[in-house]
Amino acid sequence: MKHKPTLSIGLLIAVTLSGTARAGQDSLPHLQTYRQQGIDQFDAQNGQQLWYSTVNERSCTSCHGDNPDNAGKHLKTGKIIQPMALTVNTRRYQDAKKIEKWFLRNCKWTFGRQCSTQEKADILSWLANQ
Amino acid sequence: MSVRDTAASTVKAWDPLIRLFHWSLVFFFLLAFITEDDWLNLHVQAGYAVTLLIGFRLFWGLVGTRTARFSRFVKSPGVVLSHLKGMLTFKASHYLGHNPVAAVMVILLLSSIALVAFSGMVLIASEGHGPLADTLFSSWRGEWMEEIHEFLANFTLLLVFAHVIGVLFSSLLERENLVKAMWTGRKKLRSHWDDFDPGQGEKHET
Amino acid sequence: MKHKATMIIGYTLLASILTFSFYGMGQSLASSNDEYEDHDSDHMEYEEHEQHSWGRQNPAYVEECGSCHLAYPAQLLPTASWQKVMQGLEDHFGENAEVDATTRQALENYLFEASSSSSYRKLFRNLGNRTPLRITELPYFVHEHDEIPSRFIRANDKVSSLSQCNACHQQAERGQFDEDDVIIPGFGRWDD
Repeated sequence: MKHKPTLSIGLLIAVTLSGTARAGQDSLPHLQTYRQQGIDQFDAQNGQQLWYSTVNERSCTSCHGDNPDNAGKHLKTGKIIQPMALTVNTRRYQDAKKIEKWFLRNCKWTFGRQCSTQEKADILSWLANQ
Repeated sequence: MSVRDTAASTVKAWDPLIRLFHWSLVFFFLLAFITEDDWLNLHVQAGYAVTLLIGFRLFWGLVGTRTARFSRFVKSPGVVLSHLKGMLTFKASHYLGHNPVAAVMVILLLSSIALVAFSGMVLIASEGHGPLADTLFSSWRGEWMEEIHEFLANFTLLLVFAHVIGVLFSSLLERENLVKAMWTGRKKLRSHWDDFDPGQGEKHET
Repeated sequence: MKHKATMIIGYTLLASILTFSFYGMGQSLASSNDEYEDHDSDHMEYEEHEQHSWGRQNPAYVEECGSCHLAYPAQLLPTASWQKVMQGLEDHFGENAEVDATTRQALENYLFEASSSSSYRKLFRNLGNRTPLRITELPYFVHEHDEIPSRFIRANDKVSSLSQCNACHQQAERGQFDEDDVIIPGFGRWDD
């Protein structure tokens, strides 16, 4: 019975921590929007994969760089792009219109097609945890 | 001395229109010069003003008062040279209107300004603007016209400096404030002028 | 009487010329005055740089069209050029710059209106009827930049292209491109 409090506290901490992790991810309003559109599972792993994939020599990293914690640079104009990682750039991903606009443009440019809602949700959930 | 006495010792030399023309031209020419590259709309407007003023001067030079008429003050090269020689040897001679050397400057300035204005109008005509837009002048090469326009404008400025120096020099030589004369229209009454009889003092007719 | 008639004609002629001239002058001053938002009262400073409404840009335009490059002032291209640009946003010089219908409308309203002007503009000198997509193709632009060595631009990392106006023109975002405000990265002021 002496270990009970430690165990409880440990469990409490674990639950809280995992809750926080999920809170960082789920607290993004836009992810809620995707939920409402029928996406029940966010696959951050897939999001990361998509982010680093290359199609016809084009990748998200072409402009955003290899590390989302760092600022990126527009391939043509050299304009600095603020970091994509939410933990670094906490003001990101609040504007739904803006998110959708850039997904539209950049998926088309990178992949030659629009990203599916699942793919967008995956990418966004990965970025939200970076 | 009473006002009447002072008035009596001067005589009318330049009519109001000549004077108004002169100072308006100064104003609009300077305006055009100052606005040259930066305020193009204003610059072009000033150019039009200058053109119209020159046009007026040509008209007035044909039908205007005696001191305004080209036929009265434009002289032969011989006369010009001899007057110039006189000036350079500090021999003062008095003219009610323009002296022969001044006359040369008048012709030079009017011509130069007219050419500046014209080249300016050709320049904007090549862009489809201005009164020469739909004429044959609009096909003249824009880049050349720009150089010409700029050169002529600077040349005119040079003439203006020479003109100012000339006026100051003559003022000193003749002991007459010629700048003031172009403003008030009056010069000192003298017993003799090289261009008009003293007897015709106040008259404006030919 | 002949003399009197001449005087009257003379006065009338000169009076009309001067009225017309001052009116025209007033018009030019008024139209450039309207455009310059920050101008205090009526004081005209002739040393002032070129007066435009370039500094007073539409916020939506700056937001949408300034996210990858300088939001080029609308007045730098003829309206017909802007029409072409807006028709080809999906392939905007190799990039996708699509916008939704509402945004598109707002941008077009702004661009087409701001770029239309009947008054003479030296910017479009020798342009004729052409509608280039690039400001850098305007003959006047070419002329203004033709004395710049390539080591200042193409070979310069910090500049790389004449399209990057704001790399050298320090006041570009305010719509001012005066030579005095040019500082070429790595080289300093432009000394003409």
